[in-house]
Amino acid sequence: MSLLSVRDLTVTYDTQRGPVRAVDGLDLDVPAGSITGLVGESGCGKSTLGRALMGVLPDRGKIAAGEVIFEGQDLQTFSASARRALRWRRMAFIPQTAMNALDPVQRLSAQMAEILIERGGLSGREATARSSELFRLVGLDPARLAAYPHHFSGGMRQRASIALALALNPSLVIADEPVTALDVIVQRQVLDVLRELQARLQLSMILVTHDMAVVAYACDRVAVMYAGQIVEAGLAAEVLERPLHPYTMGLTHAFPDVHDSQMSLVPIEGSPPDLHTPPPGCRFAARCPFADARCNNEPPPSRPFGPDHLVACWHAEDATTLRGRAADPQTWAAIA
Amino acid sequence: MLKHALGRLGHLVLVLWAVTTLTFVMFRLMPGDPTLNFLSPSFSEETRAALLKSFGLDRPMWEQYLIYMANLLRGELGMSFLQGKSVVVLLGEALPNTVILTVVSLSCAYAFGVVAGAFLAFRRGGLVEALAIPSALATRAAPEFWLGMLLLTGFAFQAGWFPTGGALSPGKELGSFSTSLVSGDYWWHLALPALTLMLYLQGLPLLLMRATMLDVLNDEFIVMARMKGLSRWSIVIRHAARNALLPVVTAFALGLGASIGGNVVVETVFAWPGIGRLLVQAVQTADYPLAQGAFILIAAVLVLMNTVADLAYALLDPRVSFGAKR
Repeated sequence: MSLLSVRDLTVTYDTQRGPVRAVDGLDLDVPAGSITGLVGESGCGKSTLGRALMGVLPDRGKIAAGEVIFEGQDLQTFSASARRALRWRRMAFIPQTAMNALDPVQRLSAQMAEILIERGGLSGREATARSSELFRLVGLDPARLAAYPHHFSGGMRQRASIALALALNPSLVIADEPVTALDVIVQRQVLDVLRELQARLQLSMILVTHDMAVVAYACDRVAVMYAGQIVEAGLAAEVLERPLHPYTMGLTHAFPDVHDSQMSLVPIEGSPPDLHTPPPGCRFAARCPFADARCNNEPPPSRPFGPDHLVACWHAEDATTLRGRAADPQTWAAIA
Repeated sequence: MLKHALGRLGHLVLVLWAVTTLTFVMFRLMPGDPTLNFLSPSFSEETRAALLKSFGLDRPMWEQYLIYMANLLRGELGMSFLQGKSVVVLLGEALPNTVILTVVSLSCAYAFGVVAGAFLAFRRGGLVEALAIPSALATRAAPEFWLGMLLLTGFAFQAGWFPTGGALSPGKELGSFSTSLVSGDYWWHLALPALTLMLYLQGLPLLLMRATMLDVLNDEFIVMARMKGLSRWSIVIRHAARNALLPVVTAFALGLGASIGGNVVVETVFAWPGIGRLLVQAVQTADYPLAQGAFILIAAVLVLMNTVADLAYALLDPRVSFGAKR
């Protein structure tokens, strides 16, 4: 059984132009003990989804419909205080910008102790010991607990954020673009820390990213998100090797490969639909080189395709042919 | 940190030197002659010359300046022309009254402003905000003397709950300042001037606290504090208020410095025997040594409090460092 099952989740934001569905009828399963990559371009709702799962949405946002079933319980039926009690003990969060996510005027030791004492019920002495242990776990010198966040480099701050997230032994960690702000060398170090800890502590992790390379390097599974919905999901190796959705195909070609300078970078033309007025059919249709009349009018249902692989595309049967055509920049240029 | 503090003290000395020199020049540039004020026209020219000589006013300007600076360094500010007392003694009598008035009203204003500002940051866009912000602004914008006169009219002249002026009731001479301080009469006299000043001063901390609090509440680490499931209290006090207070503390230290000299209006309205009123009297009567001394004292306090604000910020905000290594 999945550790986390999201069913038909809809998250809306109130805007001056009326409510907008940042997440719209989304389904997602996160099995225990895996790293699931949640990938998509900016504004597709992936960060909103992460915050909705934690139950901490911005003021104007709310969960309008759907179920979040975590460890067998529907979190939507929880009271606010029960929900709060769950946070950080069972599910924790690693933010993108660890600089601003740490309180600038408090030592790391104080920020660690706050969680361990207030949320974990530890004594001051136990908290000190546990803080050192956590710092060692993420590869930081426990002596650095006395430092303030601004004394740390970006990579060190991200490690500290990971240590904070693991403080109360959560079963699920949601990492929102944890390496986006870091250079590639440090990205790899941080991803290695995440992978190693996931394996050692048998964590489940949702790793929100826009970078296919991060998915390829660190994730067991991947869910591709577009305009508030999951368009394709499955084992990372399978999805990256044999993408079934044209958007996934586009994403796999949209990143440069340093080893193959001949390989042309294929941009996905256009921009995602306005979520105030989403199109009636497939949301990707307007940017899809393979879209036809049905794509424009009927939303494709999510359906299994092969073992452990879901896709929401009317043309998934022809994926093999489409993959060949998607590799050619001319195919995508025609949309522009 | 120590090096920085010493550096700041060096600045302080430099600024004080400039202030004292400017004061010296300023008073000599003023039209008129001090003797015109307290010598009757019937005095002979010889008497006047003798008096000028006794004050040292017949010497060349540079010599006067050197004598003045040498005296300053010894803590000697001269004799008041009119009151026949040493300026240091007169200032020493007035300063505690001003300090008490300032500290009491400023502390009340900041205590109220910080709490109300933080509260208003949470209650955005309601009736409370619609009423509170304009009232805070109105009391901030209203002239102090007008506020003071309204309070005097209402609570002193009509209701008769408070005295109309001074620091002690007539006929009540308590001798030393410390005995005044423990007498209820002194605090009863303090109430209205302190209230006026508090009303006048509360707007700044209130609006500043509200603005920085709103800023801080949008910060990522506040979202993270909610993610961590921390209690509302922890989030508000330990994270939001702790960060929002930084500029307010600076404003407090600066306000303390500014108020010592800026109480002139309130002290005059309530006849409060402080530095401000002394200064007004001295200027009105061209009592140069006294006015000069009051100016120097006010400037010194202001400059000193600026330095304190500077150093306090470094202590409160670990991000502000002065080349100190960690």
